[in-house]
Amino acid sequence: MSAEDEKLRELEARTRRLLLESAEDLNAETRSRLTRARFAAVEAASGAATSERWRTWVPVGSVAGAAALALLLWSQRPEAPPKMTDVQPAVDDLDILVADESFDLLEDLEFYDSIDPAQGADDADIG
Amino acid sequence: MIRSATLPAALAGRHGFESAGMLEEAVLERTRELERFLAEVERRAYRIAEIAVRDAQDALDIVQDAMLQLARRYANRPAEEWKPLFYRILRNRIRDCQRRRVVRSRIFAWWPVRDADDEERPDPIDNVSAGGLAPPERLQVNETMQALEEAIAALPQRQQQAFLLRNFEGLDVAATAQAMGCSEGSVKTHYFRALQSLRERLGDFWS
Repeated sequence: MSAEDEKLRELEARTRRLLLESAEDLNAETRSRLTRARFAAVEAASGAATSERWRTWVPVGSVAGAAALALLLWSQRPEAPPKMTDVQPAVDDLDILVADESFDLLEDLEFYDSIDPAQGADDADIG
Repeated sequence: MIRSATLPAALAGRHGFESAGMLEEAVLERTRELERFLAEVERRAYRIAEIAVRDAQDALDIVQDAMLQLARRYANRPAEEWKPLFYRILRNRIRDCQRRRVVRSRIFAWWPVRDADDEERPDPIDNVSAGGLAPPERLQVNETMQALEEAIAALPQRQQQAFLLRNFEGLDVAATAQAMGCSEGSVKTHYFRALQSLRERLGDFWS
């Protein structure tokens, strides 16, 4: 190694030592701010990890929630309403019972059927 | 290059964990690894930025940005790639800061002269370091350090980068080339020229 190279090696070593000392010798405020910056960066990385976990579980949770809600609604549904075909005859019967007409008329149905409606209309025109 | 890929997705894809618990543990371990890395480099990174931009506040902002950028974009990359990536980000942030200053100085060249930093200038007492040297020795070290900083700051930008990354941070030639975005041959050339320039500038001071 030439004398020139040796001087350069010496310069390298000395500058490195000085720079490293200056890095270790930072004042308290600077060290504190660097620590805070580091925590913020690590939080940003782990925050990304947290959001990824959320992203993974949100669809699963949504499907499970929807299934649970459907099951709840199904189990607490009201009794099935009676069908209209079952209800209608009863209503019809009720009308008959409530009506004021005399049941005697119903016994003469054959008589009423024998009356010619056309003839009745003619009589009305005349009258 | 993978960008914005999150830690769990990257780790799950790389290792195929059997359960969510194992994946979560791997993510935690990677996060701790990242914190150790940042703790290891933060002071040197700060000094590199401070020497380059000659301003403590800007240097802190630069390092903070670089840390956040590495954590957000490259935390999923293999740990051995972090150092060159981090210093590449740091270099870009330093360059951005220097460009902003040039633009600002051009815009405000005609503005009435006023030292805007007067009120924010730190109290010298706050800058007293934790070192245990006696005042005369401290003064000598400070003078030597100041001379060295001025000499480094006067280097052309690429020489300065090569010198600080190789000499101060201790990156090898390949990692330095990766951080600087140039060939290994360029790194060797820049570094050798930086050493020669420093020797010329500091020769009298250090002889």
